[in-house]
Amino acid sequence: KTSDRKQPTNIEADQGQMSTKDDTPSILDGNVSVVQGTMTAKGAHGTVWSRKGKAYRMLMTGSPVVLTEILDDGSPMKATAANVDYNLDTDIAVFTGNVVITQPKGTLNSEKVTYNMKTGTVNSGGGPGQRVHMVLQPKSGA
Amino acid sequence: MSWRGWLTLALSVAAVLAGLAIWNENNHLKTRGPAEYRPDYVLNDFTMVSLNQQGTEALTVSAPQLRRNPDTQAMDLDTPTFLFPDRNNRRWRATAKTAWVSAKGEQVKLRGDAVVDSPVGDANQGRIASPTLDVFTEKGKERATSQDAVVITKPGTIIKGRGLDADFNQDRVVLHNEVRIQYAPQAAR
Repeated sequence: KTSDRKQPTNIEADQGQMSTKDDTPSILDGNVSVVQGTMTAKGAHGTVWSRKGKAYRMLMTGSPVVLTEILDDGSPMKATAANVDYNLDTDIAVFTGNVVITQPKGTLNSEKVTYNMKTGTVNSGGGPGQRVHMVLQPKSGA
Repeated sequence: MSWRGWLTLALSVAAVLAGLAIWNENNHLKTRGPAEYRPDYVLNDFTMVSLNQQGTEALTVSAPQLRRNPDTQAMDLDTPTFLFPDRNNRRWRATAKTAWVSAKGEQVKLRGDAVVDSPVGDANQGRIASPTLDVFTEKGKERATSQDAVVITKPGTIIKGRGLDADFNQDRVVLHNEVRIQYAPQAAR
């Protein structure tokens, strides 16, 4: 949700290697959890880039990473994937590896999904020979 | 019993007594806390520059009082302010309620509200705070460690954890447990 970016980013992990320099990634290990407003991401390992005290990119890996967020239209979105590369400035998240995106309007399975968390638009495709599988829920009463 | 027997017995008793005396003295030395020894010298309201083996500055310290332990030549200080030069000759500033400095100044134990501030004017101005911090001043390997809870602050960021290893030259900090980081919100949209 756009308003999420007006919230602080809170990160928890078992261990961490941080730099006090801008643009030098902080490496987090063990039960990594990132929360910013309605966005929550949980994984085994995380790398976070920050500048002037603001996180602007978050790369998480897990088996899988689980990311949930309420979109601007109020609908909930849940994504699971082996990797999530989330640009907090552009609100674009790239999911790779066994991606499953679940929303009230349907479910999407793919190897790679580029998701605009602001607009909810999806650009999906795993690459040559990999198929995208999408299930759309019928409109109620249709 | 022949005189040889008595002599052997007497020598054995003497050896046991001597051993006990040495063991007792060692124990006494170990339990001597910072304040319990009689210092061989005391400095009041001083500033001291300690040089390392290469003859360059290991640390500069100012404090209301310093006491030196005659047995270990280590020093105990009250409310000290330290300046530690790093490889780039920037000065990290450290304060605490008390401090212990090893004889050669290569290790400093800060105890009680220990704080280390990164160099003034540094682009990444930051502060490390913990109940206890140990600072190591070996040239080129300047670092700080702690087994306690630690809070690191820099503009827009608060980092908490337990168990610290900070490398002054790399501006790199490792926290071994319970890491919590808070970043400020992105610019309001």
